Amino acid sequence: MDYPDLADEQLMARLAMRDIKAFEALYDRYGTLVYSTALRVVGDTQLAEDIAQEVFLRIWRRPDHYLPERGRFVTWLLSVARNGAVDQIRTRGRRRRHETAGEESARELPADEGRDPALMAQVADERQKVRRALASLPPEQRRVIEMAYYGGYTQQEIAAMLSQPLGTVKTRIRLGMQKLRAALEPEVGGK
Amino acid sequence: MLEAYALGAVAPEEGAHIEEHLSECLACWDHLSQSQRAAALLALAVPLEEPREGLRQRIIAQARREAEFAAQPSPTGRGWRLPRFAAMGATAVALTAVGALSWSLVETRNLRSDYDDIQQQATITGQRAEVATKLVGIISRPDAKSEAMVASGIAAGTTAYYAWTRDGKLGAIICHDLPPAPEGKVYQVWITCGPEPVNGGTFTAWQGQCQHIVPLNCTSPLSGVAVSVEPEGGSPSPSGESVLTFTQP
Repeated sequence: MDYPDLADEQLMARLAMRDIKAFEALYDRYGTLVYSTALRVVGDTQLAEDIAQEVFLRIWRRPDHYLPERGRFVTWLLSVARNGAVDQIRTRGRRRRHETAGEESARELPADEGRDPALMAQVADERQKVRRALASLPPEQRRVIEMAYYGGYTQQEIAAMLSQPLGTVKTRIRLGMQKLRAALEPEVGGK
Repeated sequence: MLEAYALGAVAPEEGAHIEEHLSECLACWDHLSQSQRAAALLALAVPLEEPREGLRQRIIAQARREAEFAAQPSPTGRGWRLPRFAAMGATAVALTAVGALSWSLVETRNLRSDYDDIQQQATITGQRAEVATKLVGIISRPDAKSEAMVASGIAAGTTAYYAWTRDGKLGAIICHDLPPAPEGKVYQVWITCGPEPVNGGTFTAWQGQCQHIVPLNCTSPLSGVAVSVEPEGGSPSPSGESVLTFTQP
């Protein structure tokens, strides 16, 4: 069986049969993204590795937690990683400085024979779309969205950190997210 | 507000209001669902960093270990599930001569669900994976015992158990809802089986849970176990607040 050619959902189905090769294929496919997501939030390589390890072991132990009807596997997986990372920084009371997307590396997933090239191209394309959508937002809207999503801050915390009225922060988040939804319509509208 | 909710940026009380509203607003569900999908896509925009090479090996090795362990039959022939601990009956409260600490024994509950929780929910990474394996080795033995620990101070509200083997060689602390130690502090275990408590190692809370193996090299009977809050790196003798305690009657 050629595991790199299998769809995410097929690999997850094989995880339920304790197929370690399917697990390896999922790690090879998304290990970098999961780790990078955790690192973006916690800003600590060791902690990001711990979170990535827990995320993958969690899907190994309980593949049934992923429900295909609720969305695509990759976005679910990255949400698990992001939420786990936010839990960590909230628990530890630690924060990292959050840069804007424009200041960050735009590196793409490295080529690897263990990854399905078509799938990786699709993910890379989506990455570009999301980065472009974020970059198209007015800076003040992008900033509050990044602080909320990557920083795990609440609206109240953001308002205090930016010395802005809470109502202003709420409006920026609402408008920014509406624009993001519109810019990512095909991805958001479907699964 | 649903946009902020989708980003996880609302305070708990706001979240409760939103959830109440959602229960009566079908249109809101659709709106929220789209916002959540947009929020989930944000993770795709992170700058890519490669983890260290050892991470893949560590994760795969741990998955293999867990799969092999799950496939092993238990000594009781009931699969890999842990044996139910015999209930220890009525609660006995024993006050020792150790200062004003109140030590109590509470009836033991089944540790199987504890371990399931640890396996399924707690973060078991690197060293934690080893600890989990040792933990299974302790609590799956037919001669294992466990007792509830008394929680106080910053750990008030924590559910903690001390499990150990009757041969006295190994013990373990397992807990839920343990808050993180204050900045610059760790939890440190103290074993009392002689005139003075001895260091049983330090640990930290992980997502509200803990699992810590305690080496027992006692030549005298174990009389108690305590957990105190100490500076990072641990202390040579207890100096901070005791937050979890257990004593042998």
